[in-house]
Amino acid sequence: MAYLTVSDLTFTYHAAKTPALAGCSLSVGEGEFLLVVGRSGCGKTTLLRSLKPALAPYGERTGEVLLDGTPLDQLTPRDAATLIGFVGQDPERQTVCDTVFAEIAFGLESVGEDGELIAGRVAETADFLGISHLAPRKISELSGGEKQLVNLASALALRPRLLLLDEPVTRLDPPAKLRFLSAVRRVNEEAGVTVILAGHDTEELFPLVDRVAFMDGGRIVSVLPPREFVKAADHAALPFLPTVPRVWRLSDGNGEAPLSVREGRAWLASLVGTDAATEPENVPTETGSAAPLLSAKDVWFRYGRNEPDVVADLTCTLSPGEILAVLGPNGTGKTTLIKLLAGILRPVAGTVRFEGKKDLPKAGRGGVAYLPQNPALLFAHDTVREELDEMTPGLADKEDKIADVVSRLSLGDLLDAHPYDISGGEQTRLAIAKLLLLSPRVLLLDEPTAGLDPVARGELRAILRELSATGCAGLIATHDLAFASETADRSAMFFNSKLTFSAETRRFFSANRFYTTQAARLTRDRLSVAVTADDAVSALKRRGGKTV
Amino acid sequence: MTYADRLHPLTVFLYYIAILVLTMTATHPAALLPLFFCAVLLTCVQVGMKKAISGLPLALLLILTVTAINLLLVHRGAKILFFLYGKPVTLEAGLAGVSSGVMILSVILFCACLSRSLSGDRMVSLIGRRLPRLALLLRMTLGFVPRFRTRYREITDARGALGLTSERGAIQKIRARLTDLSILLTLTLEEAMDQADGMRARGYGLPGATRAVTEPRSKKDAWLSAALVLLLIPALFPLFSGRGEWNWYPLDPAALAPDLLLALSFAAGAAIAVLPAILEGKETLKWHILRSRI
Amino acid sequence: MTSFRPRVFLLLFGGVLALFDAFLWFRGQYRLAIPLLAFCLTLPALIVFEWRKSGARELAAIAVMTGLSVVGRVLFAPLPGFKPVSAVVILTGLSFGPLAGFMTGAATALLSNFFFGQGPWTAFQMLAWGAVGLLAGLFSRTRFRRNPVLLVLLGAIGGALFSALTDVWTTVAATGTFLPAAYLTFLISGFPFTLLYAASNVLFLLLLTRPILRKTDRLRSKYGLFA
Repeated sequence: MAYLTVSDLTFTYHAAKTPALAGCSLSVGEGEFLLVVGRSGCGKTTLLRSLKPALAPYGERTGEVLLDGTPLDQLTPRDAATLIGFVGQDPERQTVCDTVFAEIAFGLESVGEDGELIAGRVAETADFLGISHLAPRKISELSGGEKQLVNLASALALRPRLLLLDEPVTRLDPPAKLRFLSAVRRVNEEAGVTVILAGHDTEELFPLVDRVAFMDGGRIVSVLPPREFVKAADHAALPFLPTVPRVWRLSDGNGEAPLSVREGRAWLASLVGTDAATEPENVPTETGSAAPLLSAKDVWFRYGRNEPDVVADLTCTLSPGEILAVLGPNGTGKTTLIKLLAGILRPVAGTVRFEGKKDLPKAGRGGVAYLPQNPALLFAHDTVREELDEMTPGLADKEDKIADVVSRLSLGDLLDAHPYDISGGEQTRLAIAKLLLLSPRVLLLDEPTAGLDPVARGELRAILRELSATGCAGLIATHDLAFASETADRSAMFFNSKLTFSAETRRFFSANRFYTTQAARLTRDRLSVAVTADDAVSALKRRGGKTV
Repeated sequence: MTYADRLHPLTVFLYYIAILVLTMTATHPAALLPLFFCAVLLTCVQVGMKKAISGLPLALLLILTVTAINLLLVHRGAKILFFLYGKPVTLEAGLAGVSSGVMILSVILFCACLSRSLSGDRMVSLIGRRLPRLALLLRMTLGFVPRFRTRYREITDARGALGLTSERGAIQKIRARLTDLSILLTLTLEEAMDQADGMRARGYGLPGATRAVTEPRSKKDAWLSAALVLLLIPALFPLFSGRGEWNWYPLDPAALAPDLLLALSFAAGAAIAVLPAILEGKETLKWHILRSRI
Repeated sequence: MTSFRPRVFLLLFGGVLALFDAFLWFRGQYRLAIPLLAFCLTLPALIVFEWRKSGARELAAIAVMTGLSVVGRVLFAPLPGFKPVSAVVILTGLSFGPLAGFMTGAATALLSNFFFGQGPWTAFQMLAWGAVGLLAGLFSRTRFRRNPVLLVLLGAIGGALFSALTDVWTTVAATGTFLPAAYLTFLISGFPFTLLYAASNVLFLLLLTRPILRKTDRLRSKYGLFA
């Protein structure tokens, strides 16, 4: 007997023309861990929210949801609050209280548990998730990853039997992501809680989950165990596969699909043998070509006289058409570096030069453009069209320029939408469109892939490569290694307040053992090191592997 | 670490409220003066001698201003000093002014000490049990205030870097700032809706909400509360009986005659007021000794 | 039982406070009685706020507006008398109704004085800002919401009310009683400031009304707030 049954659920948002959910059906067993993947805007969030009465969006709804045999709308409000836990995407936006203890206790207070019992429950939950030491801390002092664990704890304190997680790790860096997901795995395995997680982080999740559901156009297209999902993946679902199974699917596709790097290496060994290692191809390192467009020399920065150095003795250059990826975990100073290069912050010592001139040109046309981590910071108007208009005051060929970026970034359908009502990926595209209207020579992007689905990431990569071909340089601060490996010419790690080990991207990822992409881990000592999934597939094909 | 940090916020709050009520109703100089000294003492203990002395000119200015206001505006009293624009300026008004100034200064000092002893967070947690909605409103707002400031910075940085905050003239500048502000508001309102969802997801608004026990009451709280009640009975005696009521207009020398009952009740009031200073002073001394031992 | 305890407590608390205030009045203890009266006058709105079961979203929206006006007051601290507080409070009233307007005003006074210094004057500021928010809220469902005449009027009333109420405290604090002549002197000598309050309110209102009402209207229709 299924624990949760969704039958033919259709939902249309108030004042929307097309339904967000168009006949969704799903059944989830007790204790199951289900991953829901699909493009942003395919209805994942709407589906998850429809499963939690307090969060159900306003609009037209038909169909039925049964939780343990009871229709969702017949649950008492108290049961609806306690039986179903929910954690959303943004760790910053879900907390209400000042201390961690109060935050975890919030739900228990709301449902009227006894005061003494609450303290015990909070202690128990915090201990289970390994965050007891945070209990007396102030929420505002926590990192994003810690906050998200607190959000998980405050949902778990109510002892839910069903846990809904809506893109819970998209804002976290890899270590925090792993910590959160391993906590979720324990909740599922040790506490027996049924988990439904929507998100794009398939790399970490495929080995953990029982089944994967693929959503498209408000419908659930398929629900399969991960290995079968890999086998059955069609064109639309392929981008959502993790690197290892994707390489397998695109090259071999026989037998059991490998999910982890370990399984993948075993498969490769059976295919090509273990001693087939080839030296990395010699990539010509084009150095000292043109004069650098943007350069920083011996730059030091700190936020206050007695604060620690955030950037220390940093030197870097950006040539025309070059894309540099700056990698490293959150909170190390990548954003500070970008702000220094953008001229928002002034170095304490050292210089930042644009085209050899010491003073950065006044922000604006033909200069350095900066995309903040949260693209919504740039949106001031009520429609996408006005947002674009704002960037071209009094330009003669205004209409043409706007039409050009609209088609390049496929914003045509969104022109009359409110910038806050479009998806995260669309917001990033709109923000980049705004930057492009300034015809920048250098683009500085801060975590541009956070919250983007795999397809949108691919689109962003194509846009950046296209810009680079026209001579526009780019610097991307990111912790998304796969994206960096596919997009950047050069990669560098931001560590210990400076850029350490800056190298041509392929060399960077093939030289690193641990801080590298899944593809490089998969192919090391097996094939000529491939740092991207595409490289791995084409290397395999060259060796005569089967094609799909 | 202050002594008040280890007490239940209610104990601290009640002490200060009692002190403030006593100060604001103290008309008799013999009642007011000890309270004033306690205020000064407590301030010195809390902020340190140096800082307290640096506030002296401002305090004097306050007293002088209030005295001047009384001299100029109140023309009652028998002892006329001189006439100004045909209006009498009296000694009584001057003395009443000094007394008012001292009282206001004491109230300001005690209030400042209260907010040092009880942070905004603890104050909110104090009303949380009885006024949960108001407490939540205040707590959420306190959360938004720092966020507003950092978010505003981010917005001006990001838009400034795109050249959207043009610096061509006052009107353009103001317009750009307003745009930044409206972005800030939109962003924060959306964020607040998410936050509200986070609350609803955890059952906010269900009937019968409780509060977790976060601030346990200790034995010290019990002792101090008992002491407060015992001292308040005599200390409030003048207010409720009307005995020892002081009148500046006209000044009655008979009111200065010694009165044991009044003296006792004033002493009780002073005892309440001096207690925080003693306890905090002890704490400071203890830390001082501890540090010298380490 | 737990659910109505806060209400019973509030009513009892308010009653006792009002009685105590009457007693102080009778004793001639105006210095305490008048600020206490101001505080008691804010209580009915607080009680209604606590009583009503409006949702988390409404609460969050009020908290945002309060945060905005607190930050506004702190940011403009160097310019005496030139503050956006009344304007934000009035716009909250116009957007979300009388109760939200009052709560924003009262909470702004209470919270911003954690930065500026608490004291008996807090009660008067709570009352002044709360009242102007409440007044503006009465027009929230009318079609004059964006009418410049109404905005100028509300801004001027806001400035006048703030002066009138804070001067009550100044009078009582300085002279120990409420002398109408002294009060009048304070009002007259403070008139330039009153003008400044009113002018800054009107200025901020004219600048902020369009953008803020647009945001709050969108919010109301998107999330069904204060419906």
